[in-house]
Amino acid sequence: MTDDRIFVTGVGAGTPFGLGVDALLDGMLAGESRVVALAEPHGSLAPGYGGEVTLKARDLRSLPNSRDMRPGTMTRYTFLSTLALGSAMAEGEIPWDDGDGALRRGFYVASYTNSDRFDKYVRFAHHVIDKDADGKPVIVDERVPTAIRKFSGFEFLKLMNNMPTAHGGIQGRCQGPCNTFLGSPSGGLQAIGRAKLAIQDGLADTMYAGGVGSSIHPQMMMVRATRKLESSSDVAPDQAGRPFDQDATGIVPGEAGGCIVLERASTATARGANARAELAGYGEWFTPPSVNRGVPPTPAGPVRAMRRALERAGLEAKDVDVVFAHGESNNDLDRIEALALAETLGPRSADVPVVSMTAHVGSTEAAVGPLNAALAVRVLETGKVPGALNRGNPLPEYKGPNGAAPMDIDAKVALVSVTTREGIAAAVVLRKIE
Amino acid sequence: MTRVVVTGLGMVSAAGTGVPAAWSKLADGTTALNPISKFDGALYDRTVAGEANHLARTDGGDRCEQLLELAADELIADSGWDDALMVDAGVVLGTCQGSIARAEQIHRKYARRPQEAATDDDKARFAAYRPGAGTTWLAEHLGAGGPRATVGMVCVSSSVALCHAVDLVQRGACRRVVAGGFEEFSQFVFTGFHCIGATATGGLRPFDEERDGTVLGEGAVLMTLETLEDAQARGATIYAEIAGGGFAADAFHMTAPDPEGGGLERAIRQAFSEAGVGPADIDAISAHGTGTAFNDGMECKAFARIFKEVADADRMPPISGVKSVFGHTLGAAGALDATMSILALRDQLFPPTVALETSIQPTWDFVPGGSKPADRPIDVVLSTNSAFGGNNSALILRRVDAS
Repeated sequence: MTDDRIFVTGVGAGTPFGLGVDALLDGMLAGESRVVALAEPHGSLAPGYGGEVTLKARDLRSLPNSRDMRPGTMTRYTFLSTLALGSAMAEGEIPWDDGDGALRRGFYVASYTNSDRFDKYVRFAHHVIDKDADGKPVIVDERVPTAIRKFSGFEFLKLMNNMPTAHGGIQGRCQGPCNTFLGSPSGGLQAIGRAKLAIQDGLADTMYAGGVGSSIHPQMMMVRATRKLESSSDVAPDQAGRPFDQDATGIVPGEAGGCIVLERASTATARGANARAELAGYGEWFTPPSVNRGVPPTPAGPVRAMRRALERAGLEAKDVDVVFAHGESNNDLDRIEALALAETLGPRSADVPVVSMTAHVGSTEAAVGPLNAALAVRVLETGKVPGALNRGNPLPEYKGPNGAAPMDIDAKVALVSVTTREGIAAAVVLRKIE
Repeated sequence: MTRVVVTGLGMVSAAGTGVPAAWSKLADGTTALNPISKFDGALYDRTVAGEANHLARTDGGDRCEQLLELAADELIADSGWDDALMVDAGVVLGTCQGSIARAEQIHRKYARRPQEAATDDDKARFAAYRPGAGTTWLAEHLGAGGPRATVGMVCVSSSVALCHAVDLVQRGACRRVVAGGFEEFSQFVFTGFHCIGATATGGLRPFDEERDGTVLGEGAVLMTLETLEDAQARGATIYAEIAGGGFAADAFHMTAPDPEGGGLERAIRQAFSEAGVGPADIDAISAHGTGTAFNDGMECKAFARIFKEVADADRMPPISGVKSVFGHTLGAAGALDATMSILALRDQLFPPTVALETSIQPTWDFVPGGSKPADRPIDVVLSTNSAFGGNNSALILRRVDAS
């Protein structure tokens, strides 16, 4: 293990506000919400609105080492992931074509799943399956060759859960450690934490770390609708995402990709990179699981994750200038998260701004952590903190500021935390480089 | 560095429920592949799979949970972990597509009746849709409240999961972990492999000149990992030490491996470095051996470069391709291969590559036919896996009393 510090030298995003973290931050500073009525309703399964990314293939191809990338071979998850990675590579001015440098680069990414186009395979099955005289399903022999011809192997391969890593590994020229973490919105911060360790263990000098979420497709909408987690459609779309607000009615579908570039300090310095912040600490904690039933019963998990991240950064709660939280817009989970923030920050709770992007772009699943980390980096650089949109009637457990106006602060330490209903909490601490 | 050892095993595979059933088949050199039962394979002009046909499929039940539960039962009995030990244990699993058959059912229904309200039964199916749900389910089933993670790296998923689990223990994030992988056999995945021309017309024949594809299987394979110190203190049976692990990417092509095996070579060298061993220390190799032209050829090139460094250039360790017995269990494959390697260490047997007739490397020993008693001590085994998307992994498994 090396003692080298880890710098963030690039941040990237593909969000409903467009390409790059600045587009996201500018939109949030302006108090805008990009949660809109969707052009294509999804049956009776969804509220009919969400935060949709409208970026196209040409946007991806404008990014470093991305000219030959083919979104037609990607699911939505993979596409969003490559947008975020390419955006981060561009800002970080990563020398991706540096020959053997690829051996010292890796990519960790988190995703709920990668199967947004599974419906195509169901259509395959429908093509070959019919009913016999007794009404039982049978496969019709003569249809099989046609069906197979219609389905290229790439359609199947698109859905493999490691495809964001596979495409990103080629895009970012990564021949070092690559991994895909599945299953929780905190996965994106876990990817960042593990990427930090990969550098500190000497496995890589540069790691891309990110997360992706795409809940505007039938699969995830069905999941949430049946679990009764979706926001009500009785409110205006731009009012639907309400983190830490008593009037929140549920999760707002959204989609995005977020990514940050981590470099060993000595590597970043040697190439003259713009070190934007230091990744000073990471922590995670796990509450015993309850499969898809409710939320963690207490805030102990996220409290421990945040305290561990601060401890590893050599900091205390009193040092935190701004918090970037999950704020799922679901009262059950937001209460737990609010309690965790209040307990962690203690007497400073009332003064430390708590930023949540849910009101602006909806729920971005595993992208939320990396996006918040990217925003935190930018806030440490600019001192401009977005206001609290749609938080006019805060939960009693929420003790932080809730003014809608943006603030200018001299932020030196940012705490990023994701609390999840899966009971996996993760946090990172970012520090301004003086 | 904290030493992490395997103190319990549990598995379900085409060979049956339990590690002894699997080891018996493998040691005997008898394939467990059987006729496809889940759908009519003849329609694809394919006949065999590695389905766990001894387990009835329950209507509406989750196959992955069924497999995991049985493997967990054996694991707990074998490891001797009680509730007190389990309470802060981690759970780290790998899977390719999770409970994909449930999702298949859901979408068949919704593609036909999209406006129909979901039933309570649907909710359970939806809940299992996320590939990570199996890990949460197992953690709850075991009462394991420690770190949880799901690795989704296709065929290297569970070997990377084992690396991750070892790392958690070594860093002190938790003292013990249940780690492994799971995969169910599904028409969806089978169709995908078939569409890309990766399914075998007959059996799975790793490293054979006549190999023509892989045979998909299913299973759940679990291990209990803890520190050597803890294991010794409680008088546990210690199967082996996971002495090193590595994973590296090709960054070559979205689907095809680096034909030269560059990523695999880097993963192996990383595992060597972590374990403090070199090519001369390796007594046996468990290869990925999918039976596809690309994979097996690529693996041989990587092995050739690495073991060329050994002073006696002809000393290529015996190489086993156990998928010839169990089929390719995708997300469970890395843990399954590692488990067979651990048993090879225990019983001092070289596991066979069944169905091998004409080797693509005639001077190498792929242990054709049945297992072979060791003619020298088997102390260290290298177990490797590779995946679509150019991801590669390697594990070094070592006999504890030999280190």
